[in-house]
Amino acid sequence: MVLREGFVHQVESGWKSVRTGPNACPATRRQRQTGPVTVPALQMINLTKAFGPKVAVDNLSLAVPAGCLFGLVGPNGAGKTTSLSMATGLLRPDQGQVRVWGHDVWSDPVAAKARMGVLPDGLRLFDRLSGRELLAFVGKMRQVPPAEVAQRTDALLGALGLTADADTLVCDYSAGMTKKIGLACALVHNPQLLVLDEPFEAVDPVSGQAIRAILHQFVAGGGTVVMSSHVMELVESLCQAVAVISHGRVLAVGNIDQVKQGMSLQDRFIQLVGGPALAGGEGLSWLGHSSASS
Amino acid sequence: MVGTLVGLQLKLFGRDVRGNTGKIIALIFGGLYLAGATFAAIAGQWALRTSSVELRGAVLTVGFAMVTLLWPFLTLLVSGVDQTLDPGRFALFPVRARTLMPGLLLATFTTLGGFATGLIALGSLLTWSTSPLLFIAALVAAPIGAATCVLLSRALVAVFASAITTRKFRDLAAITLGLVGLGFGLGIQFVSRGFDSSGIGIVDQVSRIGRVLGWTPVGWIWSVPWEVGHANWLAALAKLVLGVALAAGAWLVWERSLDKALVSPLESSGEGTKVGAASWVDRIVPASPAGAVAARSLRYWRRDPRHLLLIVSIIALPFLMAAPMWINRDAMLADGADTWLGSSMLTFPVFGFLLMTGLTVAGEINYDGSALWTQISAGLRGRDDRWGRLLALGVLLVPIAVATIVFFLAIGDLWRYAPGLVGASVMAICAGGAVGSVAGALWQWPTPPPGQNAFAKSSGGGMLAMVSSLVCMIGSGIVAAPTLALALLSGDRPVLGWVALVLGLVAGPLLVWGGVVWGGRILDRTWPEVLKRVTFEKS
Repeated sequence: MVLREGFVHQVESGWKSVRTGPNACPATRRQRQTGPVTVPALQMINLTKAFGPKVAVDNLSLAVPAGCLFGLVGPNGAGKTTSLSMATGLLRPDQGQVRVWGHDVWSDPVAAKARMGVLPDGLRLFDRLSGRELLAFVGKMRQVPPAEVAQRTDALLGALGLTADADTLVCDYSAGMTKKIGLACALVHNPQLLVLDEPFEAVDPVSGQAIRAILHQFVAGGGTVVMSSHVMELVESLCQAVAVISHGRVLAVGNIDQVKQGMSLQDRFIQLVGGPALAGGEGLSWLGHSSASS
Repeated sequence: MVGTLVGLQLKLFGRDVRGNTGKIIALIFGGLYLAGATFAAIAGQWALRTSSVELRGAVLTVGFAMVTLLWPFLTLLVSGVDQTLDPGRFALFPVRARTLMPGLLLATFTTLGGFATGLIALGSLLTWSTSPLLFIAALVAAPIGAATCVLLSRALVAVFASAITTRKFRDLAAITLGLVGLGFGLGIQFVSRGFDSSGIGIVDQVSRIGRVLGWTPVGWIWSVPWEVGHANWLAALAKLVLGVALAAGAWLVWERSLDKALVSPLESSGEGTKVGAASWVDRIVPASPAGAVAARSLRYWRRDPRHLLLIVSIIALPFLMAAPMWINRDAMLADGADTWLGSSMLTFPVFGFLLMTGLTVAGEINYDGSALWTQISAGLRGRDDRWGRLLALGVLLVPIAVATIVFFLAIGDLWRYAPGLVGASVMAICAGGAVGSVAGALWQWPTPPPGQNAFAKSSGGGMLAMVSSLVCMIGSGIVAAPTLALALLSGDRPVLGWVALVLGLVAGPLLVWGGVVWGGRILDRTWPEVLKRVTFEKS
């Protein structure tokens, strides 16, 4: 335990030194225009949230530099969705602050939310609208000029392979298509920061490739992406930096190579969060043996 | 299994209520109301004990037939089925419907409504406690009758919820049910009118209605002690057999649907409805955030069966309320009550709107469910949300209001009331909009999302919904009362009608503005909490 905490500290301080250095996520054109390099795109400070006696997020601090494709990984119940909900203004933290480009999500929500595109996990969409109507709805709420909404809608639907179903009600979409239209909703106002909770879940490989391309293009254009996932291979191949969280705390954070420490992300992850003993142990020895004999 | 399920129901109910002050308060109010009604019913049954067999039998038959009818209707239209023990949740366990059903049935009697029904049914034993034979007959009939209430509602819901899988049919079913419910209300008016004119005493009337109801499915089992009391042994036996057969039939229907639910708990996907790319909806709303909400809301009014049903009720309610006046028109005119009749009649559509606007506005946000996050993360201001919803409702309500007012003025030839009635209607809609905007921002409860079991409800919402509805009705009624009074008096003094018109057109919009701003502020402060409250069964 002591060993791990010392280690985390080491990783974190390493990350801090790297964060402003030349090898971190590249500071981009847009960021250079909009503000000083030191302002993180998303900053969570001492976030805490408890549901009854269960502490879901425990004094969590995390800074995501601008222009970065940032992965958030953790086991089930680690507090990924809770942290991201608090970061996007959908769940009020018990304690702590969230800043988007320096704007506090809770005291200055309009400025913070205008810069953010969000794809939550497990929340419904207004699914009695068609895909096109849903995008128009979100665009208009975010005060994007109507002509631009129409143009972006066509482009997004095309890129995500939804053109044929543009006028089908979202309630008749498959799970993967629903994810994709949700992503389009997050993008339609051209945000600077994308916060995506499990964006690849239930998405087929072809669409997955399309989403990757969109995310790469978004980051190349100066945007910042924060996405959660529990597929390590995906995060390893897609993200530039990653935070491993468990029990609502950050165990490790940094550029992918820093966090990996020469292992695969999967193995490093197991090492960090502490996997179960191999092969289930003796208590489960009955598992798989025919129950008919007993 | 029975003990497990009843225990589970009670445990889940306790968990749900514990630590939730709003729910506890709503539960206390609802509980007190039900307790009062139950106590009154049982006291009445005790008092009835000394009456003749005929009166006892007739009153109990009519009363319990109503209870039996109310169960499926309230379940389908108002409260929804308590889904605390949703059979779909047992789908992964190796159980058959037959194993679960006794437990589910008994668990229903631990809910407030079920418990009250059970007590009232037992109360019939008091009425029939005058002779051992009658008591035994009631002892047999009461449990079967109480079980029939629950079984009938379960079976009907099962038929509607499981047989109908496509959205179009489901929409149609919801509307048909609504219309049947309204038609039922009208039917009672006509029936009572028929009895009024026949000039016979109240006791005879009740006993005539009882005789008829006793031979309908909802009255079979309840009228068994009555027949026993008259020593009509054959009739008693026939009714007992029929009553048991009805309960058994409902049981079988429920069992079949449950067995189906246990193997296919997942919703079948729809047929892939296409809609037009462009629509008139986008042309009539402003290109602003409030306009976005309005356009979305208008589409939901058309595509969401829950909204469609509301529209049907909004259109029907004024007519339904005016029906008794209309039916008894001749009698009242004969009393030389022309002015009074005219006044009363013209208030009905206004009251209809008053009732519906506030409730509708207040309940709107709940239908969004967790999809509300879209608005929150877009940084939508609370007042834009309030405006948008009102705008959409206005687009629908104004034509209906105009048509209704013209209709009522025309059939009664009451054009002298026109300014007053228009003023009062505007005021009623505005008062409803204002009060509803605030109430809807203050109180939310989860509703099942569209496309899932349309008759499901999440536990706990019912009471809060009731409180919210009461506040909306009473609140907007108080606010609109002065204008309404002016309109009523304008038959004799036309100037009062014009005052009402000016008041409605000036004060009404101001009220709405105030309600929107106030409600909007509440929402801005509490968006995340609102999202949590409207989220249905977030796991």
